[in-house]
Parts: sequence; structure tokens; C-alpha cells
Amino acid sequence: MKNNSKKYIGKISLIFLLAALCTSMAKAQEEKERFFQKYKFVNQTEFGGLFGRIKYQVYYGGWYPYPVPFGPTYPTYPTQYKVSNKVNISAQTFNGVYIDKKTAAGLTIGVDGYGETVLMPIALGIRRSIVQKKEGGSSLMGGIDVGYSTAWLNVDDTGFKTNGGLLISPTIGYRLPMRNGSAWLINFGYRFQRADYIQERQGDIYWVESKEVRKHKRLVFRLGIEF
Amino acid sequence: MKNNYLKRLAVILGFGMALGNISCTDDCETTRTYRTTVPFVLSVQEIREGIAAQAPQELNNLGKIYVKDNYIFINELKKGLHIIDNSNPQKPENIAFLKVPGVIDMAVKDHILYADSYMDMVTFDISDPKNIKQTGRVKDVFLNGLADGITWQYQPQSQQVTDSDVKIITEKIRTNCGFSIVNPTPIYYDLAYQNFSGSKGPTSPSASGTGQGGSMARFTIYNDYLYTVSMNDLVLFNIKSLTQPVQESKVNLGWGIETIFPYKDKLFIGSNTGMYIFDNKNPAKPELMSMFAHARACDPVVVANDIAYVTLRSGGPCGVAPNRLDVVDVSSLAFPRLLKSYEMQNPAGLAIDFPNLFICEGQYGLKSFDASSVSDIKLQQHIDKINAFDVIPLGNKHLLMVGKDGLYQYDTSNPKDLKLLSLIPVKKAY
Repeated sequence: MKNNSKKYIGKISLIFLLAALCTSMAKAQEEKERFFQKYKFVNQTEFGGLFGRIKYQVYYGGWYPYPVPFGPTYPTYPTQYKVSNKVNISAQTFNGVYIDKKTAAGLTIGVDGYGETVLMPIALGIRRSIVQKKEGGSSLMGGIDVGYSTAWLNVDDTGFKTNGGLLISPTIGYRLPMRNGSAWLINFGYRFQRADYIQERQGDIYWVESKEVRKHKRLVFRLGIEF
Repeated sequence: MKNNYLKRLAVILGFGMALGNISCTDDCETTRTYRTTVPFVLSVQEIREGIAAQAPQELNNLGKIYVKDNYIFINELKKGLHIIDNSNPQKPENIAFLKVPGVIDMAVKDHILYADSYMDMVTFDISDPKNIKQTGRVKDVFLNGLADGITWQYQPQSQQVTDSDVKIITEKIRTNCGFSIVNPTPIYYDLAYQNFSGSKGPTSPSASGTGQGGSMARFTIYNDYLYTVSMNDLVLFNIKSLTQPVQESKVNLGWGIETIFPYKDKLFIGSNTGMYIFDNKNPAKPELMSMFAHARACDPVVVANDIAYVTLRSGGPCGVAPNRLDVVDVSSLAFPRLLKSYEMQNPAGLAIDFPNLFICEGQYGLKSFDASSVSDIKLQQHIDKINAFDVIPLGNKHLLMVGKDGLYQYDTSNPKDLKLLSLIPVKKAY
């Protein structure tokens, strides 16, 4: 009985909430319009690449991925590193509003691939015009995105789990306006991305667990448009 | 004005670079823990001098079990034997530890215990279990062996034995950030490999005065002969003179020999690929009669009333096979015939105390069946939430069961409701 009444209270309050929303909808629409009149909306959608290197330990000429603890009679081998260059794709869209004449603030959502891993950053972004020689002309823009990357788009192998992490990405680039009010964007910057890759213990048969902390440090180069 | 812009630019760039430590190399570090093997070398002298009677020790890393009268001998793999006084099954008492390097199997006749110690066969006088004495030794009879998934090798030329330890390693390494995911390949580690002792059919001990081993045993005594199976040979010892066995012959059996089980005047030898039946009328010279082949699997065998019960288990070293119980008619030993198969979960050791059949299902627990009708074996009780690996029926409705967590003893007077008499726990290894 008590539970039932609770349920009813929940339902009734939900109906009230909906009603309240409906009545405020029209008002909200008005407010929204006023908001966007005051603060101009801006979207910047960009595609590009993440350029960097990986440097990792290899054993016995690289054919064996991890060290074997041989007995005392065997020699220990010195650690060897292997280096390779990596380019991965990155796409993102920034949706924000101009909070003053030069500065826009908003939300950045993107998709970054790092080999087998796909991360989806959700970040707060700021874009600011640093140098503009003449009104309505090209400008030098600075930008920064700080946020968290989720692993929602990632699919893991059995027994493994990828977690996203902190994203910090400052950029600098050009904004080249077109006649119709849109603009081309060329951005160049840095991207720091943290992620974890965890292997859980799988019972007694494969007695192994591992945790990898990944810090991707990349140069980023992006092209895009703004409207 | 211009100066101001440049300053801002510098600040932004500098800030960005500082955050990334100015590096464009991914930095990925993996901390991993895995189990691996570390080889070590023992000299023959060390092994031979390593035998010692010691005070009782906590059970650890259970191996095979052998029962003789009121004493239970529990093998701690390659370390030694725990001796348990089981005169009161409700309160078994750990009374002594016999240190035997490299011991995997054992058998008892009268007051003499036969155990392997890497390459040698050693005999002990156990008339006073608290004060066991070594009485004899047959040198250099085994060349290699397998226990717990680890093989050891004996090199007679250098008088050395190479064995491996299982070691757990935690390490940090710098990895390639998952660009090609390299998973560490751990050594395969299955309890199936632990070669727990096995079950025993309803037959009385195969020779008077001997104890009880199991369906997974590699040592068995028949009349005046001790049969031992190594990885691919059947080695015979004449034990007429109890204290000093004499090696008589060696029969090559091919690859993957696992268990030996004597029944009447026959020897049932379980291998990875099938069940060999040897005629043992002349104990000094067993003759191969037939082979019942099956899919590659681990397959302990027990026999009762001319019916052989074989469990097949899949996974790892056992190969890919269905998990099932095969019931085989062996009344005509030259032509064993499959009567019926039953689905199982992950069967390991089994025991028959006709008409009751007990099957260990590994992590799924212990099952008690009514096997009075071959075509309709009925489940009577399922004790889950325990790890059951092998069982030995001790007679008098008394069942000994080994699992990962210890040695259980059950009263089976009511096969539908087994009563736990006692549990000797195992020291947690990890």
C-alpha cells in the first residue's frame, strides 16, 4: 500500500512537471530567441589528424612482447625500444555562443581514433580572435578544449575495458571568412588525451591482469568550417 | 597594442606546451601481473639428499591422494607428503610431513610406501607414520614427468634435473598504446593439470595390503607388481621384496598417458585419445587387448560390474571435446562398446560405489547419481558452491573428496543427502 501511494505521488508529480513545462515552453522559446539575439550562435566543425609517435619496449629483437624471467643461468637482456610514427583521425564540432565580440564559449563533441580505440571527447571549449587586421576580415584564432573523453563509441575485446580520460587541447589557427558569413578554419595545436585499458582477472585459467595508463600526446592539425 | 597580442599568443602556446610536456610521443605504461614459469636446475645429489621426515605442515597446492587404512597421504606437489591420521573421519589429524623432492605419485603396500622423486623411485617404511624411514631407492627410472602443467626433465649425462617454478610477476612496461594489442600469453594453468588423486571402484584394493589410489593415479599395485605410467611408458616394478623394487620392463604406450586403473586382471589406462585395455594375466608382461578411442579429452575412468564410466572434459590441455559421461560396456574386453552418453558440465574425477556414482564437476560442485540402471543414470544430489576435483570412496559409506579448497569427507549412507563429516582446508595459495 505504501509503495503504491509512493508510485502515485511519483506519477502525479510527473504530470505536474509536464504541465509546468508546457506552460513555460512558450516563455522559454521567447527567452531562447532573446538569448541568441544577445549572444550570437557559432558552430565550428573540423576534421583533421593527430600526429605523434609511440615508443615501446620490445624484447629479443621485437618478436616477444614481454620479458621472460629466465633463471640465474640465463643472461638478462637490456631493454630495447621501438619507435613508430602514428597518424590518427580526429573530428569535432564546437557549438557555442559569442560571449563578447571576440570570444565564443561552448561545448565541443568529437570522435578521436587511436588505433584500436575510439574515444568520444566531450569538452568545454573557448575560441577567441587574437589578431584581426580589419573588421570582417581574416583573423588569427586561439582556442582551447578541456574535458573528458568517453569510451561510448569503443568496443572492447572480451575481458578488457577501455576508459576515457582527461582531454586538454589548445590550438591556434586562422579563420578565413567567406562572403556568405561562414568561414574556413585552419587549426594547429596540441592534444593531450588520457585513457585506461584494463584487463580483468579471468578466473583461474588465465591468471593475468593488467592495467595500461595511456597518455596520448599529439600534434593536431584540423581543417573545418564555421557558420 | 601589437605587443599585447604577441604576449597573449605566447601565453596560449606556452600553456599548451607546458601541459603536454612539449613531447609528441605517446606515453603508455602497463602494469601487469601474470603467472609464468621460471626454470631451475637441481643436481641429482641435492634431490637424493633432500628426503626428510618433518613436523606437520599446512596443506598447500594439493596433489594426489592415497589412502591406506586410517592414514591419508596427501601429496604437496613436488615438495612432499602430508600424512593425515583419519581414524576419526570427523576429526582428521595432520600428523607429519615427509619431504620428498619431486614427488608426484605414490602407492602403498603393507607398510611400504612407494613414491617417485623426480628420476628415482623411493621406498619408505611407514609402520610408524610419525617416523618414516627411507628403505630403498631405484635410481634413474624416469626421464621426465608432468605435473601442474609443468614438465621436468632429467639429463643423466649431466646428472641434473631441470624443473620450473610457477611465479607470479608484476611488472611495469612501456607499451605501444594499444596500436596492436599485445596480450601477455600466460602459461596455461588449469586445475585439471593438478593431477589430483582419483576415485576408486568398488573393487577391493587390487592386491592385499595395498591402499587406495584413484582414477587419476599413475601408480598402482597388482600382486607383486607396481605399475607406473610416465608420460608415454608403462614401467613395471617387481616388489616381491617390498623394500627394494626391481624394475622389470617398460612398455611404450604412445603419447598422452594420464591414468592407470586396475580392474580384475585387466589394466585400464586412460590417455588423451582413448582408453587402453591391457590383459594382465601375466602381471610381468601386460598385453594390449583393445583401445576405446574417443575425442581428445581428459578422461578419468572407473569400472564396476563390467561397465566402465569415463568422463570427458574439455578445455586447455584436454583438447576440444564435449563435457560428458560415457558409459562403456567392457564385458567383452576386446570389443568395448559405448552404451550411452550423458551431458555433464565440466566433469573431472569420479567414483563408483555401486549403485552410487559420484562425479566431481570442478567449479560446479559434486554430484551424486543413481547408476543402478545404465540407460537411466539419475541425479540424486548436487552440492554446488564448492570446488570438487576428485573423489575416493573409502567403503563404509564414506567418501573422500578433494577440491581446490581442501579435503572434504562425506557420509554417503543417504546418497540423496551427503553429510559433510570434516574439511581440512588448504592454505590459500594466492
